[in-house]
Amino acid sequence: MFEHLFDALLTVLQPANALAMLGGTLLGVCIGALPGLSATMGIAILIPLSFGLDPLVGLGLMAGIYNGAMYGGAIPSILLGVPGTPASVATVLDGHPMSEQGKGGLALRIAVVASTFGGIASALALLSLAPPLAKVTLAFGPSDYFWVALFGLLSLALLMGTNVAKGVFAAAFGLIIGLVGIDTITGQERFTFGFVELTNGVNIVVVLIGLFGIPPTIKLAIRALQGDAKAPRTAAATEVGSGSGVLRRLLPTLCKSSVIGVFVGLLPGVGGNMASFLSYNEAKRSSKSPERFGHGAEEGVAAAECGNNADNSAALVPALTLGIPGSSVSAVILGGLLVHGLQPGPALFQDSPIIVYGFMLQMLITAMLLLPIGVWGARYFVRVLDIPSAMLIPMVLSLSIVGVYSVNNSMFDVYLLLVFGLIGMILAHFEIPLAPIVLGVMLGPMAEENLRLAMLLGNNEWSSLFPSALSISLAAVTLAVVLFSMIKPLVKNNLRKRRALKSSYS
Amino acid sequence: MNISQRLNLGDRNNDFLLALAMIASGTFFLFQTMGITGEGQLLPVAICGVMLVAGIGLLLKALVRAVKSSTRAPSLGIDSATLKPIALVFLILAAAVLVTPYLGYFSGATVMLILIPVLLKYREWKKVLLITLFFEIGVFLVFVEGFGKRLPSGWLY
Repeated sequence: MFEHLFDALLTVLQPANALAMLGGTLLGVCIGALPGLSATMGIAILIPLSFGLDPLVGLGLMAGIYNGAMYGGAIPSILLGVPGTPASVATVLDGHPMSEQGKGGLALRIAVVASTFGGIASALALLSLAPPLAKVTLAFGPSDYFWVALFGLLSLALLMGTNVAKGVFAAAFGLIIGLVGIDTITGQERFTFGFVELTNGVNIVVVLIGLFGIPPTIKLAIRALQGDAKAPRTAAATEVGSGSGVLRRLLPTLCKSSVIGVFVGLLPGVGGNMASFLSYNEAKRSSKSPERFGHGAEEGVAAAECGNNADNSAALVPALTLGIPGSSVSAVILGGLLVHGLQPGPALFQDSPIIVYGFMLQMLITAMLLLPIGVWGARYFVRVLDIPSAMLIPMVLSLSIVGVYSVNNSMFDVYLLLVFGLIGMILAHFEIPLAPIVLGVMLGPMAEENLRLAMLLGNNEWSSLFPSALSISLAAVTLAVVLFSMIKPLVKNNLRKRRALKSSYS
Repeated sequence: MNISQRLNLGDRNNDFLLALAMIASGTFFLFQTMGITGEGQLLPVAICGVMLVAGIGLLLKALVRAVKSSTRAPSLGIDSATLKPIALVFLILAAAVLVTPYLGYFSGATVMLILIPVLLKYREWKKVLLITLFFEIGVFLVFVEGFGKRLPSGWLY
């Protein structure tokens, strides 16, 4: 492992890779700073651009955008009171009041230190957890892979979002898209609707940009019509102040939030938003003066930002080792790996160790880069908020068209982009989670192939899906996810009733 | 007043309408699986079954909520003031995509880069033209010159 790490470190420090990480982080901060744009969207649109690049250079860009956008979301949250990304909602609670009290510069510094701290903790967790887990998964057979795919799909479908039926429908819809094309075993066409272009399946880039790129960009139209808010630049980013004493005081909060963020990141279907809120709540609960929270408490900003960044790399542990992403951003990054011909899973660690270790190191380095970039660049990043949404919308849409076309030089893919964009907008309107769709597209073929292989090996007996203790355990965990999703609303209802009863007595 | 509103099914997310759409899409894909034979049919049929169960589950939930609830919620979950700009931006995108194979990428992109700000009442013409120009030069340099990619070409380029 250390040999691979050293080789990978030498590779990622080469000028092209270093430039990609720096550029990606800068771009990521800008994307995160623009309310309405997210890391998921940024990476989805960037994937086609990375085709012409060496895989590690492309992945360096993605790592930079991921970490950069997670911090960038704090800028409008603090200065405007508008969360830049969904994961930075909790930062608004104390960040904006700090800005209103004239402490915007300090809030931004706390946010960048907390983001760096959380990002580094998360990257170290990825580096220490992923390689041993990948070794374990080397022993997996076809039935185990089938259960793992089902587990990943169900956990995201059932636990993400507020409605089980919507999550399940999203996953099923993704599976159908994943099955489009010629069945590799029987040679039959499935769901091609007579289009020759669909016989090779739907390109993952089209799905990613259509679902994650088009809907949020078009939704920016509402913001553009309302008029873009202007950031109070002078009071916020240029004021530096002395924050070293404050930062030392925040160390326990940062440590706790990092642990929470990493743990949440490892769980599929939870996401940075939850990590941020859980860290914030814990900081408030353990504070000696919880009444300051919501009125500009430094600990609030630190906990929220550290929590959401500590989720970043940890969410990649199941993605890189099992090929099962735990969040929408990691699903898009997996799409990026697939586009570069890299199949996530244990084989990736054996076949392309430099790339996989290099990517993990890039997550660490880009998290470290946040500190100098955030401290020195804050006054410039604030200017990103001046870009009018009315101009940003057509630029992002144009880039989406170029990106999708450049994959296969096919206008059919661009038409398909429109279809997926429309589907994404409709699904987003009905609050159907989009991540299970992407997971379905990616895991559908893998689940089917392994299911058929397992059945073939076991002479078409259903018992062939449970050939070992490992398969039985994986099936049991999958069943536990289903049961948990059924019990969860009942427990919530009970708790709500109890609380209502208590409050009526008091 | 339509049936959804009469039954008090028009809640914020319009689950009733969504459930019907889910059932319709499940049925549509199930119908498509009829052309597939042998082992290749197993998973698609199972997935369509799951889609139908999810749709029926949501429908039942929406109906139960409608029966339990006493207040009427007439909104269909779609605010026309919000929907209009979104729909128009999407239509401009669709128009740009449709003219691109005939006029070329840069002409299609110009249509979008000028029409969308107009639609969104952004009236700084100098900025619009400058941004359009620099953006298209940037795309050409990065994609065509830098990465050697082809862009959709047409009558104008």
